[in-house]
Amino acid sequence: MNKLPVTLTVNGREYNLKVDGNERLLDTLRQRLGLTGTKEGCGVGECGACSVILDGNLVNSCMVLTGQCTGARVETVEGLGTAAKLHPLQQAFIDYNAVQCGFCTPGMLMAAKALLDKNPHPSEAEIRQGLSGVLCRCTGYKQIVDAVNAAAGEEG
Amino acid sequence: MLEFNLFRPQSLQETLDLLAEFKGTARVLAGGTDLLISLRAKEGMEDVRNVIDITGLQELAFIQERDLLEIGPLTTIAQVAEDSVLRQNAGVLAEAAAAVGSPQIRNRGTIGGNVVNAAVCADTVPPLVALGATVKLERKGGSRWLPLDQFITGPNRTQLAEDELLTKIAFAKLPANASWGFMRLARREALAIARMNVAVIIVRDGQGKVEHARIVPGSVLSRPTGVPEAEKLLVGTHPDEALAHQAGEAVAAAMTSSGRRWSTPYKEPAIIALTERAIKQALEVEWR
Repeated sequence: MNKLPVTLTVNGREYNLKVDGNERLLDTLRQRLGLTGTKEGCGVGECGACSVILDGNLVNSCMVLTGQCTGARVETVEGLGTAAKLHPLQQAFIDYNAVQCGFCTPGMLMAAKALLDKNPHPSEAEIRQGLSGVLCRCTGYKQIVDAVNAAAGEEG
Repeated sequence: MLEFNLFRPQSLQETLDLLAEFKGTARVLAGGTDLLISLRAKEGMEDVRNVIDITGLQELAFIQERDLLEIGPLTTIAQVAEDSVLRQNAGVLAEAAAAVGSPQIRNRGTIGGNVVNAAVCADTVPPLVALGATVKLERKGGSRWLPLDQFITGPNRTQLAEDELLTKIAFAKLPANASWGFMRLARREALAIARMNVAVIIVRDGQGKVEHARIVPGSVLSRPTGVPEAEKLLVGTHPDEALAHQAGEAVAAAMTSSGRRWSTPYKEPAIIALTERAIKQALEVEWR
Protein backbone atom coordinates (compact mmCIF):
# COMPACT_ATOMS: atom_id res chain seq x y z
CA MET A 1 0.00 0.00 0.00
CA ASN A 2 1.39 3.38 -0.98
CA LYS A 3 1.84 6.40 1.28
CA LEU A 4 0.57 9.72 0.02
CA PRO A 5 1.57 13.24 0.98
CA VAL A 6 -1.46 15.33 1.96
CA THR A 7 -1.60 18.98 2.96
CA LEU A 8 -4.89 20.03 4.44
CA THR A 9 -6.27 22.68 6.77
CA VAL A 10 -8.33 21.61 9.77
CA ASN A 11 -10.05 24.33 11.79
CA GLY A 12 -7.67 26.89 10.32
CA ARG A 13 -4.48 24.97 11.11
CA GLU A 14 -2.41 23.48 8.29
CA TYR A 15 -1.18 19.89 8.50
CA ASN A 16 1.36 18.10 6.32
CA LEU A 17 0.70 14.37 6.55
CA LYS A 18 1.74 11.12 4.94
CA VAL A 19 -1.21 8.78 4.90
CA ASP A 20 -2.07 5.29 3.68
CA GLY A 21 -4.16 5.14 0.52
CA ASN A 22 -7.08 3.62 2.39
CA GLU A 23 -7.10 6.00 5.37
CA ARG A 24 -10.46 7.69 5.92
CA LEU A 25 -10.71 11.37 6.83
CA LEU A 26 -12.57 10.27 9.96
CA ASP A 27 -9.59 8.19 11.12
CA THR A 28 -7.14 10.97 10.31
CA LEU A 29 -9.14 13.42 12.41
CA ARG A 30 -9.64 11.11 15.37
CA GLN A 31 -6.48 9.05 15.50
CA ARG A 32 -3.80 11.14 13.84
CA LEU A 33 -4.89 14.65 14.88
CA GLY A 34 -6.60 13.69 18.17
CA LEU A 35 -9.80 15.49 17.18
CA THR A 36 -12.18 12.98 18.75
CA GLY A 37 -15.20 15.28 18.74
CA THR A 38 -16.14 13.79 15.38
CA LYS A 39 -17.78 10.42 16.07
CA GLU A 40 -17.98 7.18 14.14
CA GLY A 41 -21.48 5.75 14.18
CA CYS A 42 -22.39 3.46 11.31
CA GLY A 43 -19.32 3.89 9.11
CA VAL A 44 -21.42 3.56 5.96
CA GLY A 45 -22.86 7.04 5.47
CA GLU A 46 -26.24 6.49 7.05
CA CYS A 47 -26.07 8.11 10.50
CA GLY A 48 -24.17 11.36 10.01
CA ALA A 49 -22.36 11.21 13.38
CA CYS A 50 -19.06 11.77 11.53
CA SER A 51 -20.29 14.86 9.64
CA VAL A 52 -17.70 17.56 9.01
CA ILE A 53 -17.60 20.54 6.66
CA LEU A 54 -15.25 19.96 3.74
CA ASP A 55 -14.59 23.01 1.54
CA GLY A 56 -17.88 24.51 2.69
CA ASN A 57 -20.00 21.40 2.15
CA LEU A 58 -21.33 19.01 4.78
CA VAL A 59 -19.96 15.49 4.19
CA ASN A 60 -19.67 12.19 6.06
CA SER A 61 -15.99 11.90 6.98
CA CYS A 62 -16.30 8.10 6.94
CA MET A 63 -16.90 8.31 3.18
CA VAL A 64 -13.91 10.46 2.29
CA LEU A 65 -10.35 9.23 1.91
CA THR A 66 -7.77 11.57 3.39
CA GLY A 67 -5.77 11.06 0.20
CA GLN A 68 -8.57 12.89 -1.61
CA CYS A 69 -8.20 15.96 0.61
CA THR A 70 -5.05 17.69 -0.58
CA GLY A 71 -5.63 21.44 -0.42
CA ALA A 72 -8.93 20.95 1.40
CA ARG A 73 -10.34 23.01 4.24
CA VAL A 74 -11.95 20.89 6.95
CA GLU A 75 -14.10 22.19 9.79
CA THR A 76 -14.90 19.97 12.78
CA VAL A 77 -16.83 20.53 15.97
CA GLU A 78 -13.57 21.48 17.73
CA GLY A 79 -13.38 24.56 15.52
CA LEU A 80 -16.82 25.87 16.43
CA GLY A 81 -16.06 27.60 19.71
CA THR A 82 -14.05 27.36 22.92
CA ALA A 83 -15.15 26.51 26.46
CA ALA A 84 -14.79 30.21 27.28
CA LYS A 85 -16.64 31.41 24.19
CA LEU A 86 -19.15 28.94 22.82
CA HIS A 87 -20.50 29.19 19.29
CA PRO A 88 -24.13 30.45 19.29
CA LEU A 89 -25.24 27.00 18.11
CA GLN A 90 -23.46 25.32 21.02
CA GLN A 91 -25.02 27.76 23.51
CA ALA A 92 -28.45 27.20 21.96
CA PHE A 93 -28.06 23.41 22.23
CA ILE A 94 -27.42 23.88 25.97
CA ASP A 95 -30.24 26.38 26.43
CA TYR A 96 -32.79 24.15 24.66
CA ASN A 97 -31.62 20.84 26.18
CA ALA A 98 -30.84 19.61 22.69
CA VAL A 99 -28.28 17.08 23.98
CA GLN A 100 -29.31 13.74 25.42
CA CYS A 101 -26.65 11.03 25.06
CA GLY A 102 -24.60 13.46 22.98
CA PHE A 103 -23.28 11.04 20.38
CA CYS A 104 -25.01 12.72 17.44
CA THR A 105 -24.38 16.23 18.77
CA PRO A 106 -21.13 16.99 16.91
CA GLY A 107 -22.73 15.86 13.64
CA MET A 108 -25.89 17.84 14.39
CA LEU A 109 -23.85 20.96 15.19
CA MET A 110 -21.85 20.69 11.96
CA ALA A 111 -25.00 20.04 9.91
CA ALA A 112 -26.59 23.10 11.53
CA LYS A 113 -23.49 25.21 10.88
CA ALA A 114 -23.35 24.12 7.24
CA LEU A 115 -27.02 25.05 6.89
CA LEU A 116 -26.71 28.48 8.54
CA ASP A 117 -23.53 29.29 6.58
CA LYS A 118 -25.57 29.01 3.39
CA ASN A 119 -28.99 29.99 4.66
CA PRO A 120 -28.82 32.25 7.76
CA HIS A 121 -32.60 32.40 8.19
CA PRO A 122 -33.98 28.93 7.44
CA SER A 123 -37.61 27.97 7.90
CA GLU A 124 -38.37 25.06 10.22
CA ALA A 125 -38.79 22.82 7.16
CA GLU A 126 -35.38 23.91 5.90
CA ILE A 127 -33.84 23.21 9.32
CA ARG A 128 -35.34 19.71 9.33
CA GLN A 129 -34.07 19.17 5.79
CA GLY A 130 -30.61 20.46 6.73
CA LEU A 131 -30.41 18.11 9.72
CA SER A 132 -31.97 15.15 7.88
CA GLY A 133 -28.61 13.46 7.33
CA VAL A 134 -27.90 13.02 11.05
CA LEU A 135 -29.81 10.46 13.06
CA CYS A 136 -30.50 10.96 16.77
CA ARG A 137 -31.40 7.64 18.39
CA CYS A 138 -32.52 9.40 21.56
CA THR A 139 -35.04 11.00 19.15
CA GLY A 140 -34.67 14.45 20.66
CA TYR A 141 -35.23 16.13 17.32
CA LYS A 142 -37.71 18.75 18.55
CA GLN A 143 -35.22 20.35 20.95
CA ILE A 144 -32.49 20.24 18.30
CA VAL A 145 -34.66 21.97 15.69
CA ASP A 146 -35.70 24.58 18.27
CA ALA A 147 -32.05 25.18 19.20
CA VAL A 148 -31.01 25.71 15.58
CA ASN A 149 -33.96 28.01 15.06
CA ALA A 150 -32.99 30.07 18.10
CA ALA A 151 -29.34 30.26 17.06
CA ALA A 152 -30.37 31.40 13.58
CA GLY A 153 -32.45 34.20 15.09
CA GLU A 154 -29.55 35.26 17.29
CA GLU A 155 -27.03 35.39 14.47
CA GLY A 156 -29.38 37.38 12.26
CA MET B 1 -10.78 -1.61 4.92
CA LEU B 2 -9.23 -3.29 1.91
CA GLU B 3 -5.58 -2.39 1.33
CA PHE B 4 -4.92 -0.67 -1.96
CA ASN B 5 -2.72 1.85 -3.71
CA LEU B 6 -4.43 5.19 -4.22
CA PHE B 7 -3.70 7.16 -7.38
CA ARG B 8 -4.62 10.79 -7.96
CA PRO B 9 -4.37 11.54 -11.67
CA GLN B 10 -4.63 15.19 -12.67
CA SER B 11 -5.87 14.75 -16.24
CA LEU B 12 -8.25 12.57 -18.20
CA GLN B 13 -5.37 11.20 -20.26
CA GLU B 14 -3.46 10.18 -17.16
CA THR B 15 -6.60 8.49 -15.82
CA LEU B 16 -7.18 6.53 -19.03
CA ASP B 17 -3.51 5.47 -19.04
CA LEU B 18 -3.86 4.14 -15.49
CA LEU B 19 -7.07 2.28 -16.36
CA ALA B 20 -5.38 0.71 -19.38
CA GLU B 21 -2.41 -0.32 -17.25
CA PHE B 22 -4.36 -1.75 -14.30
CA LYS B 23 -7.20 -3.45 -16.20
CA GLY B 24 -9.47 -5.22 -13.75
CA THR B 25 -7.38 -4.52 -10.65
CA ALA B 26 -8.50 -0.89 -10.38
CA ARG B 27 -11.67 0.86 -9.28
CA VAL B 28 -12.49 4.49 -10.03
CA LEU B 29 -13.27 6.62 -6.97
CA ALA B 30 -15.36 9.77 -7.24
CA GLY B 31 -17.74 10.69 -4.40
CA GLY B 32 -17.05 7.39 -2.68
CA THR B 33 -20.55 7.03 -1.24
CA ASP B 34 -20.90 3.57 -2.78
CA LEU B 35 -17.31 2.46 -3.43
CA LEU B 36 -15.95 3.14 0.07
CA ILE B 37 -18.66 0.95 1.57
CA SER B 38 -17.66 -1.92 -0.74
CA LEU B 39 -13.94 -1.37 -0.10
CA ARG B 40 -14.56 -1.39 3.63
CA ALA B 41 -16.73 -4.52 3.47
CA LYS B 42 -14.28 -6.06 0.95
CA GLU B 43 -17.30 -7.28 -0.97
CA GLY B 44 -16.78 -8.01 -4.65
CA MET B 45 -13.34 -6.41 -4.38
CA GLU B 46 -11.19 -9.57 -4.46
CA ASP B 47 -9.20 -8.43 -7.50
CA VAL B 48 -8.88 -4.78 -6.52
CA ARG B 49 -5.33 -3.58 -5.80
CA ASN B 50 -5.59 0.01 -7.02
CA VAL B 51 -8.05 2.84 -6.56
CA ILE B 52 -8.00 5.79 -8.94
CA ASP B 53 -9.34 8.98 -7.35
CA ILE B 54 -10.73 11.16 -10.15
CA THR B 55 -11.95 14.02 -7.96
CA GLY B 56 -8.98 16.06 -9.18
CA LEU B 57 -10.35 16.07 -12.74
CA GLN B 58 -12.38 19.24 -12.53
CA GLU B 59 -12.79 19.05 -16.33
CA LEU B 60 -15.36 16.30 -15.62
CA ALA B 61 -17.51 18.52 -13.36
CA PHE B 62 -19.85 20.58 -15.53
CA ILE B 63 -23.42 21.20 -16.54
CA GLN B 64 -23.57 22.84 -19.95
CA GLU B 65 -26.21 23.71 -22.49
CA ARG B 66 -25.18 23.02 -26.09
CA ASP B 67 -27.37 21.34 -28.72
CA LEU B 68 -28.00 18.91 -25.91
CA LEU B 69 -27.79 19.33 -22.17
CA GLU B 70 -24.49 17.82 -21.07
CA ILE B 71 -23.53 16.77 -17.56
CA GLY B 72 -20.02 15.81 -16.48
CA PRO B 73 -19.88 12.66 -14.34
CA LEU B 74 -18.15 14.44 -11.44
CA THR B 75 -21.10 16.80 -11.00
CA THR B 76 -22.41 16.17 -7.50
CA ILE B 77 -25.98 15.06 -6.88
CA ALA B 78 -26.48 18.34 -4.96
CA GLN B 79 -25.33 20.36 -7.98
CA VAL B 80 -27.75 18.45 -10.21
CA ALA B 81 -30.57 19.09 -7.73
CA GLU B 82 -29.89 22.83 -7.53
CA ASP B 83 -28.87 23.71 -11.07
CA SER B 84 -31.20 26.31 -12.62
CA VAL B 85 -30.69 25.11 -16.22
CA LEU B 86 -31.61 21.56 -15.24
CA ARG B 87 -34.50 22.72 -13.06
CA GLN B 88 -35.93 24.55 -16.04
CA ASN B 89 -35.21 22.08 -18.85
CA ALA B 90 -35.05 18.68 -17.15
CA GLY B 91 -36.87 19.22 -13.86
CA VAL B 92 -37.59 15.53 -13.42
CA LEU B 93 -33.87 14.86 -13.02
CA ALA B 94 -33.31 17.71 -10.56
CA GLU B 95 -36.32 16.56 -8.52
CA ALA B 96 -35.01 12.99 -8.35
CA ALA B 97 -31.53 14.19 -7.40
CA ALA B 98 -32.99 16.21 -4.52
CA ALA B 99 -34.50 12.97 -3.15
CA VAL B 100 -31.20 11.09 -2.95
CA GLY B 101 -29.87 10.06 0.48
CA SER B 102 -29.14 13.07 2.67
CA PRO B 103 -27.41 16.46 2.31
CA GLN B 104 -24.09 14.76 3.11
CA ILE B 105 -24.58 12.08 0.43
CA ARG B 106 -25.77 14.60 -2.17
CA ASN B 107 -22.76 16.86 -1.49
CA ARG B 108 -20.33 14.04 -2.09
CA GLY B 109 -22.03 11.54 -4.41
CA THR B 110 -21.80 12.18 -8.13
CA ILE B 111 -24.21 11.60 -10.98
CA GLY B 112 -21.54 9.58 -12.79
CA GLY B 113 -21.23 7.32 -9.78
CA ASN B 114 -24.98 6.89 -9.53
CA VAL B 115 -25.07 5.81 -13.19
CA VAL B 116 -21.99 3.56 -13.24
CA ASN B 117 -22.80 1.88 -9.93
CA ALA B 118 -26.11 0.98 -11.61
CA ALA B 119 -27.98 0.11 -8.44
CA VAL B 120 -31.59 -0.74 -9.31
CA CYS B 121 -32.70 1.89 -6.80
CA ALA B 122 -30.51 4.71 -8.21
CA ASP B 123 -32.82 7.71 -8.13
CA THR B 124 -31.28 9.63 -11.03
CA VAL B 125 -31.40 6.71 -13.47
CA PRO B 126 -35.16 6.50 -14.28
CA PRO B 127 -35.34 10.24 -15.05
CA LEU B 128 -32.22 10.02 -17.22
CA VAL B 129 -33.67 7.05 -19.11
CA ALA B 130 -36.98 8.90 -19.51
CA LEU B 131 -35.04 11.88 -20.91
CA GLY B 132 -33.41 9.55 -23.44
CA ALA B 133 -29.91 10.09 -22.05
CA THR B 134 -26.83 8.70 -23.74
CA VAL B 135 -23.46 8.20 -22.07
CA LYS B 136 -19.97 8.76 -23.43
CA LEU B 137 -17.36 6.17 -22.51
CA GLU B 138 -13.69 6.91 -23.12
CA ARG B 139 -10.68 4.65 -23.11
CA LYS B 140 -7.07 5.10 -24.12
CA GLY B 141 -7.26 5.74 -27.86
CA GLY B 142 -11.03 5.62 -28.33
CA SER B 143 -14.52 6.50 -27.23
CA ARG B 144 -18.11 5.39 -27.78
CA TRP B 145 -21.62 6.56 -26.99
CA LEU B 146 -24.37 4.27 -25.69
CA PRO B 147 -28.00 4.87 -24.80
CA LEU B 148 -28.23 4.71 -21.01
CA ASP B 149 -30.87 1.98 -21.04
CA GLN B 150 -28.47 -0.22 -23.01
CA PHE B 151 -25.44 0.79 -20.95
CA ILE B 152 -27.06 -0.61 -17.80
CA THR B 153 -27.57 -4.33 -18.39
CA GLY B 154 -28.84 -5.45 -14.98
CA PRO B 155 -28.55 -4.86 -11.23
CA ASN B 156 -25.08 -3.29 -10.67
CA ARG B 157 -24.06 -4.39 -14.15
CA THR B 158 -23.09 -2.19 -17.08
CA GLN B 159 -21.29 -2.43 -20.40
CA LEU B 160 -18.39 -0.37 -19.00
CA ALA B 161 -15.15 -2.14 -19.95
CA GLU B 162 -12.30 -2.43 -17.45
CA ASP B 163 -10.33 0.32 -19.17
CA GLU B 164 -13.23 2.71 -19.83
CA LEU B 165 -14.34 5.82 -17.97
CA LEU B 166 -17.74 7.52 -18.16
CA THR B 167 -16.98 11.08 -19.26
CA LYS B 168 -20.30 12.64 -20.25
CA ILE B 169 -24.07 12.24 -19.93
CA ALA B 170 -26.18 13.99 -22.59
CA PHE B 171 -29.86 14.39 -23.40
CA ALA B 172 -32.20 16.79 -25.18
CA LYS B 173 -33.92 19.55 -23.27
CA LEU B 174 -37.56 18.86 -22.60
CA PRO B 175 -39.81 20.78 -25.03
CA ALA B 176 -41.95 23.58 -23.65
CA ASN B 177 -45.10 21.43 -23.89
CA ALA B 178 -43.59 18.64 -21.79
CA SER B 179 -44.38 18.06 -18.15
CA TRP B 180 -43.10 15.47 -15.71
CA GLY B 181 -43.64 13.61 -12.47
CA PHE B 182 -41.32 11.76 -10.12
CA MET B 183 -42.46 9.62 -7.21
CA ARG B 184 -40.45 7.63 -4.73
CA LEU B 185 -41.31 5.22 -1.97
CA ALA B 186 -38.89 4.64 0.89
CA ARG B 187 -39.08 3.76 4.57
CA ARG B 188 -38.22 7.32 5.59
CA GLU B 189 -37.97 10.64 3.79
CA ALA B 190 -34.21 10.96 4.25
CA LEU B 191 -31.35 8.50 4.44
CA ALA B 192 -33.39 5.70 2.95
CA ILE B 193 -32.86 3.83 -0.26
CA ALA B 194 -35.83 3.97 -2.60
CA ARG B 195 -37.86 0.77 -2.49
CA MET B 196 -39.35 1.89 -5.78
CA ASN B 197 -39.44 5.04 -7.83
CA VAL B 198 -40.92 6.12 -11.14
CA ALA B 199 -40.23 8.94 -13.58
CA VAL B 200 -42.93 10.12 -15.99
CA ILE B 201 -42.61 12.55 -18.89
CA ILE B 202 -45.69 13.57 -20.84
CA VAL B 203 -45.81 15.77 -23.95
CA ARG B 204 -49.22 17.19 -24.87
CA ASP B 205 -50.51 19.11 -27.88
CA GLY B 206 -52.31 22.47 -27.68
CA GLN B 207 -55.61 20.71 -26.89
CA GLY B 208 -54.11 18.74 -24.04
CA LYS B 209 -53.99 15.43 -25.89
CA VAL B 210 -50.98 13.26 -25.06
CA GLU B 211 -48.56 13.06 -27.99
CA HIS B 212 -45.77 11.23 -26.24
CA ALA B 213 -45.34 9.52 -22.88
CA ARG B 214 -42.42 7.98 -21.03
CA ILE B 215 -42.96 5.91 -17.90
CA VAL B 216 -39.73 4.56 -16.39
CA PRO B 217 -39.84 2.75 -13.04
CA GLY B 218 -36.83 2.03 -10.83
CA SER B 219 -36.27 -1.04 -8.60
CA VAL B 220 -39.10 -2.71 -10.49
CA LEU B 221 -37.56 -4.20 -13.64
CA SER B 222 -34.23 -5.97 -13.94
CA ARG B 223 -32.86 -2.96 -15.76
CA PRO B 224 -34.11 0.61 -16.20
CA THR B 225 -36.33 0.89 -19.26
CA GLY B 226 -39.65 2.42 -20.12
CA VAL B 227 -42.83 0.35 -20.02
CA PRO B 228 -44.28 0.66 -23.56
CA GLU B 229 -47.55 -1.04 -22.57
CA ALA B 230 -48.18 1.70 -20.01
CA GLU B 231 -46.96 4.53 -22.25
CA LYS B 232 -49.18 3.47 -25.18
CA LEU B 233 -52.28 3.65 -23.00
CA LEU B 234 -51.81 7.39 -22.56
CA VAL B 235 -50.87 8.43 -26.09
CA GLY B 236 -53.73 10.04 -28.05
CA THR B 237 -55.88 10.52 -24.94
CA HIS B 238 -56.78 13.08 -22.33
CA PRO B 239 -55.87 10.79 -19.43
CA ASP B 240 -58.19 10.59 -16.45
CA GLU B 241 -57.72 8.89 -13.11
CA ALA B 242 -58.93 5.52 -14.38
CA LEU B 243 -56.49 5.55 -17.28
CA ALA B 244 -53.61 6.54 -15.02
CA HIS B 245 -54.54 3.61 -12.79
CA GLN B 246 -54.52 1.28 -15.82
CA ALA B 247 -51.06 2.58 -16.73
CA GLY B 248 -49.97 1.71 -13.20
CA GLU B 249 -51.39 -1.78 -13.63
CA ALA B 250 -49.39 -2.14 -16.85
CA VAL B 251 -46.20 -1.24 -14.94
CA ALA B 252 -47.13 -3.81 -12.27
CA ALA B 253 -47.69 -6.39 -15.02
CA ALA B 254 -44.22 -5.64 -16.43
CA MET B 255 -42.80 -6.09 -12.94
CA THR B 256 -44.37 -9.52 -12.47
CA SER B 257 -43.52 -10.73 -15.98
CA SER B 258 -40.18 -11.92 -14.56
CA GLY B 259 -41.89 -13.86 -11.79
CA ARG B 260 -43.60 -13.40 -8.45
CA ARG B 261 -41.90 -13.29 -5.07
CA TRP B 262 -43.13 -13.14 -1.49
CA SER B 263 -43.01 -9.34 -1.69
CA THR B 264 -45.01 -9.04 -4.92
CA PRO B 265 -48.46 -8.62 -3.29
CA TYR B 266 -47.04 -5.64 -1.37
CA LYS B 267 -45.27 -4.14 -4.36
CA GLU B 268 -48.13 -4.34 -6.86
CA PRO B 269 -50.46 -1.78 -5.21
CA ALA B 270 -47.44 0.39 -4.37
CA ILE B 271 -46.14 0.67 -7.92
CA ILE B 272 -49.66 1.17 -9.27
CA ALA B 273 -50.20 4.07 -6.86
CA LEU B 274 -46.75 5.57 -7.49
CA THR B 275 -47.28 5.46 -11.26
CA GLU B 276 -50.75 6.93 -10.95
CA ARG B 277 -49.46 9.76 -8.76
CA ALA B 278 -46.49 10.48 -11.03
CA ILE B 279 -48.85 10.73 -14.01
CA LYS B 280 -51.12 13.00 -11.97
CA GLN B 281 -48.14 15.18 -11.05
CA ALA B 282 -47.10 15.33 -14.71
CA LEU B 283 -50.60 16.28 -15.83
CA GLU B 284 -50.79 18.92 -13.08
CA VAL B 285 -54.34 17.90 -12.23
CA GLU B 286 -56.23 17.20 -9.01
CA TRP B 287 -58.32 14.04 -9.06
CA ARG B 288 -58.92 13.91 -5.34
